[in-house]
Amino acid sequence: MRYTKEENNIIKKIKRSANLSRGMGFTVNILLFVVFILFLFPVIWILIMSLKTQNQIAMMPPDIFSSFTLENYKNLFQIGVEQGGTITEQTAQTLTQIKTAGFLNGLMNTLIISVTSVLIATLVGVPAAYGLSRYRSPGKESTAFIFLSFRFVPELVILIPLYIIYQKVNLYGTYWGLIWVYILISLPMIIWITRSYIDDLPFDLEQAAMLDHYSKLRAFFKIILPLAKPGIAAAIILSFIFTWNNFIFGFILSTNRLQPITVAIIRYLDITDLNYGTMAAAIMISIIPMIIVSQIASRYLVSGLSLGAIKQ
Amino acid sequence: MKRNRSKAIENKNEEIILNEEQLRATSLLETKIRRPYTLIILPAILISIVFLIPFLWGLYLTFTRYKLSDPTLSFNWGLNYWNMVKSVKFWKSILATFQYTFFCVSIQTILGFFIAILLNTETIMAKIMRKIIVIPLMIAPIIGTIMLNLMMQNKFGIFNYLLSFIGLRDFPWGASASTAMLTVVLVDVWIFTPFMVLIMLAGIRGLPKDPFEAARVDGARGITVLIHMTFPMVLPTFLVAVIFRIIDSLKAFDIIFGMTAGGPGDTTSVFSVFGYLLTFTALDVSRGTTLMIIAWLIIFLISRKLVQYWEITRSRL
Repeated sequence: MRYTKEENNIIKKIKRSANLSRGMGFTVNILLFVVFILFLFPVIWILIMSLKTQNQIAMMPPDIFSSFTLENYKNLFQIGVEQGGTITEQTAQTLTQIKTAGFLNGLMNTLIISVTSVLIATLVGVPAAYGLSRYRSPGKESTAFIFLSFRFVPELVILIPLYIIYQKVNLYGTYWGLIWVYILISLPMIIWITRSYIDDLPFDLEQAAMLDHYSKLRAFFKIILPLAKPGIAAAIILSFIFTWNNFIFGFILSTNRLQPITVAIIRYLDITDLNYGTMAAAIMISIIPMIIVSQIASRYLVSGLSLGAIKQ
Repeated sequence: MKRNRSKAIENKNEEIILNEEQLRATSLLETKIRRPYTLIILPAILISIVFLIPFLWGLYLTFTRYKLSDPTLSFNWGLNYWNMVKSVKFWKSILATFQYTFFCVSIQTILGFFIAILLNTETIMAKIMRKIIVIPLMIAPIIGTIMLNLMMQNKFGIFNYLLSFIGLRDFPWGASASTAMLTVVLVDVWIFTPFMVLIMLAGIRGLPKDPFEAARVDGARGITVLIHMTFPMVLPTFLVAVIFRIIDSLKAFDIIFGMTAGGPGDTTSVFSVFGYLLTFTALDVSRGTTLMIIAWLIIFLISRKLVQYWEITRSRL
């Protein structure tokens, strides 16, 4: 029922007052503020650190409220600025430039690998989920369970043999080698989430379509796909987040040229050039994409995270 | 799904009179053509087979002696397994893994439940936090580890500075055997409690309103409602989150590797980290794969038990 604006306000007031008394509301706010500090303090702190110069960071007690600067971010994107100086200084500069280029390279790599692997996994996984959902067959449930079990396998069980095999097959340090492995983590997730979503769509619609002489294929595209969009969206978003944030595949199976951002950042943070500000800036840049994704796609997160067990 | 279909067919038989063409169409539906099924699912199966090949090769490797520094393969029978069970480091690894899993999951569950209850209200902070609590979960675990590591440094780190106010000077965090496990558990709790919160909040919000109104009418106060009503009804959802966290903690790698790489004195060498060290540091592939197969077996059995338990609670509701 649609209410007028006034009725809406009254309803909200009733809901609010029915929920908590004034005192309880205050306690909840205080407690949640503590939670806010506990969970978001590291992010805020790194953000502040990334906006300060090395000198300001080194001061104890930390100097929070004075000037902010964007120079750390400039350092991250600055490549190829030659400066003279002593031999050690020049070496340090070259090393820094290599690291900087490696960092941006890492971002690019992660983007390429994540998008490609999730795309392929979707194209393969959604039809497979439809098949698992709609067709009868003796081995169906065990196949589905095998797909699910990939999620529960420690990655190194596969990665250690794959490390050796890749080198023999010349797939080590190639884009497709990495994409292939990333497909292996996205595929089970996409299949499982989409399947549980399609399971919930009543078969009557397809049956009605087929009574009207739709072929199965057409029924799939015109009926199931539009209806399953939230489920597919949840699956895609979740796989995207997982592949972006993944560390171990890139760590073991990629070379310097191909490392995703998670690996690049570990290599970025080694002993040369201990500029905490630049480190913090690098960290900020690598976490911002996923934070943005989570805000845009927040309503798909829960059903995705629980692999479709919980639908909102 | 099967229920829907048979109901639909029943309805159809009762209500609609079909002409011959429609009859043919529906009988085609009912014969469950096998071929399209295999066509659709074939790519996925192919990929899975390719997945199985390294697994089987790894399994084979556990019965051989194979080092990266000396890549000759010599068959070994069960010697690797026997040696592994005899080695102290293996049992330390089991201890570390189960400690890690136990602490992480229990803390995350309790914290997650309470935060979820708080977030279920309509206060200002609740509305803000519902959007923001996800953020630590979106940070790649390895990057989150680096972030916290940066803050745990002795000289520039803010944590030790803040701790000095309470009188804890120079807290060693990941560097000391007694505090390393605490440190990695802390990072895991920071990153993954929002996971629990999100799922539990969805579960609590999905509960029907009527029992709670009835309880309020009968005069039940907050705590009673919480313990005797919210908690049992939210248990299946609860368990989904718990099962996922247990399995993910058992195979955890990123956080521990990034923080302590096995920890001072093997205190934090969980399965995956230990396997990594065996394969890439000690260059002993056969031992590494042996450990990983054993770890996989343990995780497989535990996860199967957990899923069975979950099905029971679901059917009970």
